[in-house]
Amino acid sequence: MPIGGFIVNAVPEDLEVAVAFLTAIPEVEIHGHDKGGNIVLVIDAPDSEHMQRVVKKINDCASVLTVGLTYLNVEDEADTIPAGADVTGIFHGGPASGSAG
Amino acid sequence: MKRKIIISILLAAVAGMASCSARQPHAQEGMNSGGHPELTDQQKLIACSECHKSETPDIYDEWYQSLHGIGMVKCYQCHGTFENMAVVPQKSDCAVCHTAAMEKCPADKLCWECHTPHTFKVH
Amino acid sequence: MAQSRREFLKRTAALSAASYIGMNLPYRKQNAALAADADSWHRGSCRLCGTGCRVELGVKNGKAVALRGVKDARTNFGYLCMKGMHFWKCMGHPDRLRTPLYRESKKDKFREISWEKALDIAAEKFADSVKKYGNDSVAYYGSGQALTEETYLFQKVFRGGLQTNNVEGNPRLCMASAVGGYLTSFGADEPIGGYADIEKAHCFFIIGSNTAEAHPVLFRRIMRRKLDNKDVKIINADPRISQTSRIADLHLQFDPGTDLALLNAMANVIIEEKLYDEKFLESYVTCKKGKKETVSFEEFKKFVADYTPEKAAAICRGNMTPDKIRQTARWFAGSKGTLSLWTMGINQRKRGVWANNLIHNLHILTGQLLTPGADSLSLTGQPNACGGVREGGGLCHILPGHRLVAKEKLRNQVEDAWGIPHGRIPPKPGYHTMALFSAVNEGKIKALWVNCTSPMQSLPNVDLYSKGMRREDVFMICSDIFPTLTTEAANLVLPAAFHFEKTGVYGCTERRSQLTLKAVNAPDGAMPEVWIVREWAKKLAEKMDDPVISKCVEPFEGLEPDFALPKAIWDEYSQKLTSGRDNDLRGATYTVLQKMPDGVQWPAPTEAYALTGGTVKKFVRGMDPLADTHAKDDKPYQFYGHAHDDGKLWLWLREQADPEEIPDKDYPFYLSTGRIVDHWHTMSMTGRIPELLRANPYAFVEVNPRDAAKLGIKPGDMVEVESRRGKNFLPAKVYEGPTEGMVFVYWHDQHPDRLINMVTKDGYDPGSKEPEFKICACRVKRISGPKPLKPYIV
Repeated sequence: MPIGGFIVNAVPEDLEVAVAFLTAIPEVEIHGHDKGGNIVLVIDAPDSEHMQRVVKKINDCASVLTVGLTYLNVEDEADTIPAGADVTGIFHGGPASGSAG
Repeated sequence: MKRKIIISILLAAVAGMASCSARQPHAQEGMNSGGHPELTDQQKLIACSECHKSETPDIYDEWYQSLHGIGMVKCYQCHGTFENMAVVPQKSDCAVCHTAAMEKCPADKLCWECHTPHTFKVH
Repeated sequence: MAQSRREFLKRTAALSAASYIGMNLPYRKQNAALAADADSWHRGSCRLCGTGCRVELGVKNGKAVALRGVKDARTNFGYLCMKGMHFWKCMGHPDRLRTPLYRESKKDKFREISWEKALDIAAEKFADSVKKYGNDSVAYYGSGQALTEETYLFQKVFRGGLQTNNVEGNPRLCMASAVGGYLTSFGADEPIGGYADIEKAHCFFIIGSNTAEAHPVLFRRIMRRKLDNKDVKIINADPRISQTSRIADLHLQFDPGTDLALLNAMANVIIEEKLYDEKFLESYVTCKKGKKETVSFEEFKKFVADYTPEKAAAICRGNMTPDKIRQTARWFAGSKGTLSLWTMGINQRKRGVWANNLIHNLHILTGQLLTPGADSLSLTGQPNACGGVREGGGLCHILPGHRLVAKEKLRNQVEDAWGIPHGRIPPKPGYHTMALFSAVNEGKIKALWVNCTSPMQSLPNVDLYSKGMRREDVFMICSDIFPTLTTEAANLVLPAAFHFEKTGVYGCTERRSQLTLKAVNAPDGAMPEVWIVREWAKKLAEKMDDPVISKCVEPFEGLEPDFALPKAIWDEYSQKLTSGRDNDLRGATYTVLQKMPDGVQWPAPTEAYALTGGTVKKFVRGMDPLADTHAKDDKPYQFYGHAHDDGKLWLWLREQADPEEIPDKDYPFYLSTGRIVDHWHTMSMTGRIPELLRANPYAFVEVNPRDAAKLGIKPGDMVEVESRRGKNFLPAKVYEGPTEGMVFVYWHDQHPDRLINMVTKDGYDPGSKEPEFKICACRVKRISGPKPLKPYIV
């Protein structure tokens, strides 16, 4: 069940239209918008393909200029991916952690 | 391991959605500007920079070469630790040290509008 | 996936998006402590290192919620370091001790008891010990973190009341050699200049100090100075490349313990190339081979002639070359103001006093002293080692106001000030720290009070001395705010109020005394130490049937402990005991200290003078009021320190001397230890703050890549570090830090596998009695690959 954070750029004059359009989509939560036409929204979809379809739907809206993904969490799906990546990182060296944050 | 997988999926997803995201600021760095993937208690004992050195090398380098990097002001001072993490800090986080700047700088601006994050040079 | 977790992810997703466009979402306010959230701000000092940064604690609904720097403070100008920003967060930790804990036998479990009962037991055990085994069977072991009022009152009751000079403290482990150096070179303890020289210096000589991690706010000032003035040179001399080296123009790397040769070789170059200040030497300097053995400058020249840069480079090894030594000496002598800075790399040494002397020598030779930007400045590690312990009489051989126990006249001055009979303070100094804990081991000490420090972790070769503290016949009281390895070995644990939960003065590195007022209540049941000592002394007086003990606390009877009591103690100390002494604090009253954003630098004989900030440079006429009152002639500098009867600075002939233990075929590596930026001392505070704990949850061993290759050690591997005294198992960091043939371990970790003081050596400087934590011999071997470790906090 992926969760994504997005910025939608709407035509500023059409902001209200875009917001109304987005509000009607069940997978979408609007978290804020500004006068410049920026809309912050979160999409909570049952799977990635579904999310892709929602994004496409938003992008097809005439009042929307762009849809930008800034954050995606797919950890549920990650659990189902067979293991295989290397396990590194917990105690690797490098400059004194004194040196690092 | 899980962390790595999540990150790689995230990158793939960003690439896959490029078509629908003409405005994609910092597409390459998309993941580190977002919230933090979940970590196990053991992973929480890794200093932020230990992972970010490789996961977000540009930001790490900017920070490491900055006055904050030399003066050892580390990630957690501005961004908190896992439970109170904030991708974008509060102005008051800066105010802990930079009280004088708070009086001098324009009050209606956020610190990082002029002082580029991580390198902290004035534009 | 739990609902709350999903909500969290959604919020995170939204925040991420909002962050791109600078939009404020309501839940971006995730930090608990927002500036705007505080109802009131309370000025005080930082609790941690010796820099003396001034902070304001934000309080809301009676709880600490935020912290910020004080921009008008001449110590930090508003800046704070990582641990300084976070220290207050430990105040509300659930581990805080809240009720006295007692057990008759160390085999028993602790049980909670009342304060009344706890003080009764404490008084009875100390009284019994004195009656049965004599006055010197009891001892106090205090701390450079205790407030001056606390150290002063403890030592008053022990010396005047219990008639023993067994009053020691952990500053013996950190700056006793600096005290010895200042006394023998300049005739008076504590630096001549201070931090104000940083902004005027043109050359920094940083030796045996990782300033970037141990004193980050001072490091910032040095960094700023260099950024603002391209001509500023920074020389970093250290066996280990550290964070501090990042701003250095020249890094001198050498084998541990060889720096006396380096310093003598710099003197050699200064003389060879005629870079010394002849006029300064003629006017103000005596050459010394021993305290009573004066020699000529010609003899000094002859002495250092032997330390050619070539010879020193061969002794020092590492990256040292004769040219680097010459360059260093030229920069040092030729700059318009040279500031030397050092800390434990110089002090925690078998010949720590000599190493201090040899740094002072360079300043004396070149006249890089007393002028703007020129000073020989020892940085202290604890917030009140200088103020409380060095000045307040917190060591076995000194009384308040830099007075020596051994001098009858000075003892009598103190007895008169306290209104107790002459002869009450015994003439014999007590046990110094290492002798004290040896005496504990031998069963000579029957009752020991440890305040605000954890010797079970911080003593060198700690296993050996732990045995004594665990003895059934040693009754140990421990007053502290959190459980520590030492409270675990005590019979009686007394819960103390923390910084900002009580009132008192801290005196930092640069002779600066600063007041912290109570801002929040301590947890119910925790009490300020001044109250604890007063109430204990009253019971002690009854049990010993000794009115002189009552007399010691009589002036403080009935005063409320949050302000009136510490103020009365400060008044007695500053007005009666610093009058006529070099650390004259009569002007630094609570009234003045409350007005000043950053306290007062002594000497400050009057309130009017103290309100100017006090004395920035000692010994300079026109800048130091005592230089005027003590003036013997018309010269601009007056060295009135009590330790030199000739009123001169002393230039010392001190040979290169080996550490007590040097690597051999069985133990082929040097081991050195130090502090990390995120943690402080034994981690009892910083280990309880998630931000700091996670930044460095456990100690590790730093191994030079060439040594690692030889030993087959890869980053993260578990490594055994073993000396003749004990061993540790630590994860390895492989990096170009320690010089080849040396490993380095941070000392904050409490876990028995990683408690490096089980490995360090307990040899000590014969003059200062400060142990040689910084150097011993060890062997190093790979045990296994990386292992997940858990942080360990008692």
